[in-house]
Parts: sequence; structure tokens; C-alpha cells
Amino acid sequence: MDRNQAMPAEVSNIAMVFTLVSFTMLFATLFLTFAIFRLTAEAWPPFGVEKLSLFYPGLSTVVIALSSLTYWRFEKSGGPRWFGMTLALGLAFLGLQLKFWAFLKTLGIFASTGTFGSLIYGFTWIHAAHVLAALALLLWVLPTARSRESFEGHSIRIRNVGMFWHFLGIVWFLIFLIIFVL
Amino acid sequence: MAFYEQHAHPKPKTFISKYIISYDHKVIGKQFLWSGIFFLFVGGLMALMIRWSLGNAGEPFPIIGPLMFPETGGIIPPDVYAMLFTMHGTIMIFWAITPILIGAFGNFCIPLMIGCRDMAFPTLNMLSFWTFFLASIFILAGLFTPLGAAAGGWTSYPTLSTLVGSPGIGQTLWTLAIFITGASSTMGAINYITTVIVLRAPGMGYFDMPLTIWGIWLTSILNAIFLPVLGAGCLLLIFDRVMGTHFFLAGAAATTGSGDPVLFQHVFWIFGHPEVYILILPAWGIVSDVLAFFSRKPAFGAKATALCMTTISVLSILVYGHHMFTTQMSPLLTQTFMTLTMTISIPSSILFANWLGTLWKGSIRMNSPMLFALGVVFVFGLGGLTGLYLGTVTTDLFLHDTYFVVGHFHYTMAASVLLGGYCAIYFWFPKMFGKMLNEKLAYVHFFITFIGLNGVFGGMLLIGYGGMHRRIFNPFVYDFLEKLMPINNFVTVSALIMGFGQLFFVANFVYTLFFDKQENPGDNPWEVGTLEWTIPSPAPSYNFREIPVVKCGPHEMGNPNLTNGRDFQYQTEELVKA
Amino acid sequence: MFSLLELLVSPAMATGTNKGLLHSILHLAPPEDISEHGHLIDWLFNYTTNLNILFLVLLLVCLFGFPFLYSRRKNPKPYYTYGNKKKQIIFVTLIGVAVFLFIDLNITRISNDDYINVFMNFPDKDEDVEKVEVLAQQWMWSFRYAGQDGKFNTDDDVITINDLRVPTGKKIVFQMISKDVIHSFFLPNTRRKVDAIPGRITRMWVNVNKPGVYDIACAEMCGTYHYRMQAKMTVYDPQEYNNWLVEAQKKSSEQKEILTADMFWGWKWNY
Repeated sequence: MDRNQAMPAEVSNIAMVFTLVSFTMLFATLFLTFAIFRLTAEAWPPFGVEKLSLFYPGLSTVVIALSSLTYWRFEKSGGPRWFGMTLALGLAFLGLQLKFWAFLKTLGIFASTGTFGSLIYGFTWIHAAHVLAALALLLWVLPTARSRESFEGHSIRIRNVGMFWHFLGIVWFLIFLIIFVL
Repeated sequence: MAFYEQHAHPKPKTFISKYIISYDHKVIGKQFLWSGIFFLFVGGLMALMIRWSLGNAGEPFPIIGPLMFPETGGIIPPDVYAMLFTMHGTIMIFWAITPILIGAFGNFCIPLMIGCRDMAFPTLNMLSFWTFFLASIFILAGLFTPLGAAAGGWTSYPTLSTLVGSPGIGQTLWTLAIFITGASSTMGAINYITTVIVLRAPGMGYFDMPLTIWGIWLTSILNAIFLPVLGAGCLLLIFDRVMGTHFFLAGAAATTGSGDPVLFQHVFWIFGHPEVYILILPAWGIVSDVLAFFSRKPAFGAKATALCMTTISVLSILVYGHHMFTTQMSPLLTQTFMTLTMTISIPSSILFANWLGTLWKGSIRMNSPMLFALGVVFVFGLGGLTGLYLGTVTTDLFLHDTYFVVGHFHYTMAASVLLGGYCAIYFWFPKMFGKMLNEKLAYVHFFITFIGLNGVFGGMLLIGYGGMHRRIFNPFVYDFLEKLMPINNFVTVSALIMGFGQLFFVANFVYTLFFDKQENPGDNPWEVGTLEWTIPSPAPSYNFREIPVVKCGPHEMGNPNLTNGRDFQYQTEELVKA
Repeated sequence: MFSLLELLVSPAMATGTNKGLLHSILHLAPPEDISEHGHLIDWLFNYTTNLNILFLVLLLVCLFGFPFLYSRRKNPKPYYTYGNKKKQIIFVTLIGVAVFLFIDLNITRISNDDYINVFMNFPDKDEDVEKVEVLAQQWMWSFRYAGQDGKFNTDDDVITINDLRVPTGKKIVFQMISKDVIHSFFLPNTRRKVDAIPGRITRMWVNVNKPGVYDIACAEMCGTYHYRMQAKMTVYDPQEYNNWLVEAQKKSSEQKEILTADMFWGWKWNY
């Protein structure tokens, strides 16, 4: 990354903002899909499907919120402790998603269970894939947690990955609010 | 925004670092150019095969036909015909126009014209090309799968594009390829946007940027915003095909609850209408610049042109519904979309007035780029005017899904973008390769192409007016189409002529590049004042030894107060006043 | 490769019945209009064309005239202007506004009126209309008539395949749906089309006035044999139509099917 040494921080910041705009559009399209199905349906959840328990989605929300919080602490002060917690919470979130999918299957809700199943699985799959990518990005940040110097030398990288991580947290919160609660 | 000076790249030494894994925007631009030309050839060949089926139904396709379809003796079978028009559309839009105008000239022109050493993120730039390359492998792989490539049209409406209508793996590969190439374009777009915001040479305001950069910049913004919409649509389609979800399934195939196939059309056209402008905006920018350069006077209303392009970009978001009039949306929506569609003609006609104003009282030099630019003005004018019939809902009831639509969108996004692309190639060739293309061959190329394409697309407008609908393998089936057969034949002959004309370009390109031993045309063969012409041709790997400081606009030509023996001044020179 | 010239003069390129390119272009017209309101669309098309020709001529005059008038030889000193003068800005804006007012708003208004007042103005509930249900599938059209009792899903329903028969002088209302992929019900002779979509009902009404046999096509890509998804529309005068319907009903009740029709298709009429 020596090549970009001369680059001021706001350059990559601008790029990151546009990247997030792109991702926002991706998720916005999914929410549009949801809105159309939800508004045209006669009953929601559709006939024959019970309202889902909020246990797993709620727990996931707490976990991802905590991970955002720990990453925020890490961004402020650095240190392997907060970073490790973020990583662990991120993995826990993915684990919860797996449990959630297994739970849905025990309820008899599959991806092919009409639009309801399609929406729930489609949203969580796409979000989980992004969380997976974000975890890979966290591994890229991993070396910076080692020492004070490397933490300060890579502030741009830490900040950009953080923006993406918080973004995914917000998206999950919206998914939780709009799809599971409402 | 904070301008900063980038380090010059170390000069690459090995073959691989020089040509394959290159961070240099000029090399990446050339990589895009070569791939784009390759796919232009593939897509063009497919177009000829489509035309051959329509004009010479039941006759074997010459030369390569018997090799490709031995079972039918060289005649193109109907299922292959469906694959051909699907792949023709897809390849031309995403693998030919996008890489040539946005990939190649976006990459090549942005840093050179705004005066910096490279893109803001060279690594991202390289990744963008290689992601595109991966997508190319996916899209071509579809052709070699057992059930063949995607065959649902380039719009791939479900439920035809779900397992109901196309069980083969080809459609899945197609969807994946679109998703990946979308990711590639988004990467490029984010890079371009940032570069233009941050790396403009000191002194260069937004309105001091050449209009080419305006066009590419707006295109990138639209790309970054709307490609993810298509991406989401593609993901849902892949889920429907692979994971068994029911987003777009309805009718007999939807066993548990019903999805909505029209939803995909909404998602597709929310992206699809801006896409039309994504493709044409760079060409508009290039044409606006070239018209000014070869009329030897400042671009008429350059600021207005830039603002019109911006207005059109914004409006393009609001009008997508006119692609879906026949799905019977609510009449209120239909009226709204129709009226919004019509407002696009205000900025468009101002754009045209500015182009003609640029020509007015100029001192016009008829070099090859100028010819192509004038061609763009003509074909886009015709394309835009024919759009009126399709934007009004009642005429669209008849013309929707006929060849009139095909003719219209080929005029607007194929003919004008093709001519715009050639214009760019002839214009920047000296800066890219340090040689000039042969002007005489360029003239021949232009006139054959121009006559050919008007025959093809004008003929399509006529056929569409006669009522022939799209995507049919054999028009002889219908009685009311019989009287159109001579025009169909004429279109096919025109297509062959147009295809033949491209050989002049290939000959010119290959000969000049590899065999011609001409002298270097110098830094500035066209006598133009923008930044890329202040450096040697071909552009050195570091672009600018000293980062230039910009002091005047991009089209300062024909100024009567100039005293230095030139009729133009460089952007690095103080504006000469009386 | 054969020459353009040959194509222009020689009749009978492909079928032996064609009359050559020039003849074909000079006599180019949309298919014969057999509907009461098709002329609205034709009229708007021609109206738009006339306006377009005006602007196209303007464009062509400038586009070809300027390079000729202001060529390098004739006009070595260009006029140095930015187009930022007040007069020029007003001129350019005027062009934009003129195009919008005189072309766009004009045709938008006409088209809007036609669309709302005619094409989307479906007949009232109690008006005497001919109702036809259309089921599209790969690659055929099925049509269902209510029969004498005027009700669908009864024993006297008449079902035909790729064979639509309609009377003159009466509004014909189609409701359609698709079984598999999206199709588009295209009646070139009435200038109308509407998509047949799986999972939702679309409607269209026409009024025909010329007896004869006409083509029906599928206008939306629907698979390999899209081009063969053709049906015929036979237009009868009312008396002939009634005779046919009675005949068809008799036939269909003779070949009583075990499964009733509504197991496969049929839906509530919207009025």
C-alpha cells in the first residue's frame, strides 16, 4: 500500500461513501420487493404461516449491535481486546443465522414456501453473504490490532472497514424492524 | 477538494507487469478496448446471423453456417436464433459498448484530461478489468452448455428466465455474468467518481472539465447508483433458479403462493432506463467536445450542455415506466410516466441546439473524428424523434414490441454509441499509440457504416410501422408481414454492407498499429488545447512530468486576440484577452 | 452477395409474390384497420410524424448546411463565441420550450385523452358486450366464450384453440392470463396489444367492424416457438356469429369432457 501513501484520508472516504450508496441501492431494491409483496398481500404473514417468533432475529440484532459498539471502541482506542470481541460477535451473528435457518426449517418454512419464505430467506442470505465479506475485511484489519504503530498507520483502512461494518448493522436493524417486527 | 500529487508509477519491467497485471490506467484502458472490440466482433457476427435468418429464411448461413449447425445443413434453427438475439443484446450492451466507451475511454481520458498521474485507486481499477474478464468467461461459457446459452431476450423477463421457461444452465450463467460485470462496472464507477472529484488539476473547476469528462462522470454516477438495482434483481432471479424461491414465479408453476413476474420488470427498468443514458452520455460528451475542436471555436453553451446532461441523468430515473405500458399499470401511473418521459425532450433539444450552435459560424475541419461526430448528431436526432411515438402511450400500444422499438433503440444507443466510439478511437488513437489512423480509409469506413446503419435501422423503423413484432424467427408465418419481406431483405443487405464496412476499420487499425512505419504525429496533431495534448504521444507512463495548472476552459479556440501563431490555446495558458 | 440495385428493381426476391423494395416502401402501411378506434392511433402517429419531419428538416438543414457554409476554406476565421450571451441563451431555451410545448405536450394531451376516454374506458356492467377469456401458454392461445347463458364456468362454455371468432358491432372485452410465461396478445389489425401475465388478469376491449380473417400474434418473447404462437381472428356479422356460437355449443356439449373446464382456468369477471 505504499503506492497510496500520498493519498489524503478524505479521498478514500469519498469513495467509501459512494460504495455505501451502491450497497444501499442493492438493499433498497430488496426492501422495494418486500414492500410490493407486503402491500399487495391480503394478509401478512400469508395464509397458513404463523407470525415468526422474534427470538433469533432479536438476538441477532443485539449481537450485531454489540459488535458495532465494540468496533467503534476499537476505532477510538485500538487494542486487540475490542477487535477480538468484534470478530467473535460477527462470527456469533453468522452462527445465529444458521440456527435461525434451521429453526425455520423445523417450522416447515422453506425457501420455496411462497413469497414469505422467499423474502425471509432471500434477505437473510444476501445480508449474511455481506457479513461474511465484512468478516474477511476484518481479517484484513487484523494485523493493525497488534501494535499501536500499526494501528495509527492504518487509520484509513480501519475506518473504511468500520463504515461497512456499521452499515451492515444498520441494514440488519432495518431488516429486523421491517420484516420481522412489522 | 483537496488535490494531492500522486507518485509516478515505477516503470514496469516484465511483460506481465506491463500488459497483464498493470496498474496503469492507460494500459487498463487498452485492455478494455481490445476486449470491447473483440466482443463487438462477436456481437456483430451474431447480428448478421439474426439478419440472415430474417432476410433469407431457410437458407444456410454462408461459410460458417454448415460448420456450426451440421444437423440442419447450415440453417440457423429457431432455438439458436433465440440465443443469438439474446446474446447479441447482452454482449453489445455490457461487453462491447460498456468496455469501449466507459472502460476504455473512461480510463484513458479521465486522468489525462483532468491532469493527474493515474486513477485514485489503481488497484481497484485493475480489479475492475479482471472482474470484467471473469464475467466474460461466464457469458461465453453459456454458449457451450448442453442446452445452450440464455434465450430469453436481453431483458430476460421472468417467468421465461426462470426454470419454467429456460431450464438450461445457460440462463443461470447469464444472470451470474450480468451480476459480476455489474460489480466490475460499479468498481470502475466509484473509482471514476472519486478521481474526478479529487484529482482535477489545480485550477480546474467542474466547468473547466472537458465535456467528455462530464459525460463519463455522470455515467459513472448513474452506474454506481443503478447497477446495484439490477444486481439485486439478478440475485433474486438466481435464487429463483437455484434455491427454489418464488419471487417471480406465478401461474401454473407457482405451487405455493404466487410471486410477481412484473416485479422483475420494474426492477429491471429502474436500472434499464438509466442504462440507456449510461451508454449514451459518454458519447454525448465526446461529441460535444469533438464538434467544438473541429469547428475551431468554443463549445456553444458548454455550461448549458453540461447542465442538460445532468438534468437528463436525473430525469432518466423517473421515466422507466414507459417500457411497461402494455403490462397495464394503473392509468394514473401510465399518465405520469408519459408526461415525465416527455419532459426529457427539453434538455435534449437544448443539447441539440448547442451542438448546432457550435457548428454555426465555425471554421469546420472535416477530419474523421468530426465526420463521426456529425453522424452521431444525425442518428441520435432521428433516434430521439422516433422515441416520441413510443413515449406516448396510445401509439405505443401498437408499436410496443415491434421492430419500431428495435429501430428506435438501435438508433439511440447502438448507432450513436457506435459512431461515438469510433469518433473517440479516431480522435485519441494518436495519444494512445503515437500514430495516426489513415484518413482515407476512415472516410470509406464512415460512409459505408453510415449508409449501412441507416439502411438497417431505418429499415427496422419501416418494418415496425408495418406491424412486424420483435424476436420472431420466421416472419413468413404471418400473412400481414408478407408485404414487408422486400424491406426485410433490404435490411439484411444493409447489415451485410455495414459489416463489410467494418473491415476497413479493422484493416486500418491493424495496419497502422503493427505495420505502418509512419513518423510520430507529434504531441498535438489535432491542434487542441486540452491537457492530454500537452504531453508526448503516446502518453508516457507517468502522464505529466509536472502536474499542470489549469488557467482556462477546454475549448479556447478561434480567439481573435491570440498572437502566438496558433488558433487555439492550451488549458495551461492564461486566457488571452483583448 | 447480391447487389442493392438488383434488389431495388427485381421483383420476387424471396417468395415470388413480392413486388420489390420501392413498391414495398411506397405502399408501406400498418395492417388494415378493422376497429372502430384504431384510427385514433394511426392519426396520432401521422400527426407526430408531421411534427417530427419539421424538426428533422431543421436539424438536417443545420447539420448539412453548416459544414458546407462554414467549411475551413470558406470561413477561415471562426466566430469566437461561448453561447453565453443573453440573446443566445434565450434563443436556445426558446427552442427547448417550443419543442416541449408544440410537440410533446400536444401529443401527450391527445394521447392521454384517447387512452383514458377510449382505450381504458371499459364498458359498463350492464352494457351488452361479448366477453372472451384468453388463456395464453407456450405456444398457443385458448379462447373461452360464456355461451348462451352469458356466464362462465357453466356447461355451455365454448372453448376454441387458436381460433377467435368475434361479431361486428358489439364491444368485445377480453380478459386474459397466462399459464406459464409472459405473452402479449397482439391484434395488429386493431392496433392493440396487452400482455398476458401469469398470476394477474389483464383486460382489453376492441370494437371491430370489418368481417374477414385476421392474424393474432404473440408480441412478447415467450420461448423458442414464440414466432409460431399465432392464432386467427374471424370477424363475423352478428347473425353469422350467433349461428356459429350455437353450432359450437352443440358440438362442445356433445363431447362432454370428464373434467370441467374451471378446473384448469377461469376467474371472476371484474364486472
